[in-house]
Amino acid sequence: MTKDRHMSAGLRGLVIIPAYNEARSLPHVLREVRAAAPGFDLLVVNDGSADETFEIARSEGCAVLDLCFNLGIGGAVQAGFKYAVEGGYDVAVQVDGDGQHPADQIEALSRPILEEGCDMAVGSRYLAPGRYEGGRLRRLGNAVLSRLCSLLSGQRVTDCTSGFRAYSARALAYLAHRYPADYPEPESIVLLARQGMRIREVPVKMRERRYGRSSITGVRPLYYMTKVGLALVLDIIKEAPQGQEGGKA
Amino acid sequence: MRPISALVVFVAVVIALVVVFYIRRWRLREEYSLLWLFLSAALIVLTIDQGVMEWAARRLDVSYSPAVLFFLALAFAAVMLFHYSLEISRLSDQNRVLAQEMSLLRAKLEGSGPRAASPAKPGSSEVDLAVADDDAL
Repeated sequence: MTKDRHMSAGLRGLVIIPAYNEARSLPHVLREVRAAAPGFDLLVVNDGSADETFEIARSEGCAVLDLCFNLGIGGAVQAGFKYAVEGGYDVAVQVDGDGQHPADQIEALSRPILEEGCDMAVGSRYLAPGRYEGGRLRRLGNAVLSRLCSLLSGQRVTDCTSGFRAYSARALAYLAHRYPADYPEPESIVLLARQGMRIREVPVKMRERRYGRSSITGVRPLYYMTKVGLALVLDIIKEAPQGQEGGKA
Repeated sequence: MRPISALVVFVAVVIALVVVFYIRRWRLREEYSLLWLFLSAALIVLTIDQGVMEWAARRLDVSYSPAVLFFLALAFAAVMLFHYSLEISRLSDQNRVLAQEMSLLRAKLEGSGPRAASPAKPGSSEVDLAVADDDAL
């Protein structure tokens, strides 16, 4: 029985679900998350969806951030980080609205944060037994980027593009002010590592998404790999952030 | 005055008029209006007084003096484009922050905003992180 230590310690957890046109899969995802992680508060970030995502999230009774236009995954997740910081959460777990992230792993993912003092835990498809099926280009792209991330962060990274993650309050505070706009996953690993934060990967078995398709298909993995690879290298020369985000007014 | 000079002066005057038109309508910020008026003035001066270009070409050791003009025009365009890249980056950053802040404020208005941790930390079930009661992992 793990009738939990965290409970008596009064720690607070938030599940952040970025959703862009996920009306069909969202009810299922919310139900799963509620069942698997009853102690966590739920936040859906509606990234300017054209469908009923917002209404569904509201009718399910969870907190919703409704972005007035589509910001992309980076901007949406960052809005969730800001919410988590304002709410003073001890851990926040990011779970995609399309249902490919297994809700029953939310606790496994938050454990390194709550018990081992890690700042970010990343659910890795490549540490779990059984091979993750994905296009060959996709796997290649992920492998190359992950090596680059390992190199730049000095920490072992096998699945840098995984969006299934848990963050500590410290990581949230940093990322609420600095988070890459598009394809943020690999960059944020390096950004946090450069702040001296600890990152841990947790083996996770992901599922096929129920509806919709990945945004990265065909030869796009190669484009993605090049673009993100360059962004990672450019990050090396970026100065430590100063002042307000958005630059001078 | 050669026909080409007349044409250039005409274009420069049109640019200046367009700039003045938009300033009067409050649709062009001063920094930009000054820049474009300066461009217009430069065109007129360089056209009327050919000596300036020839002097610059001699100093730069360029045998075909209009080449200097082409270079300056390209440099001006490149600087402007870079300036716009900077502006666009800044504006889209600010846009993103605005959208995020607005969503947070609206959530607060509608009562689903972030609740800060309750002061009575332990025991209050509302804010507890209850982990599912099973033996998973």
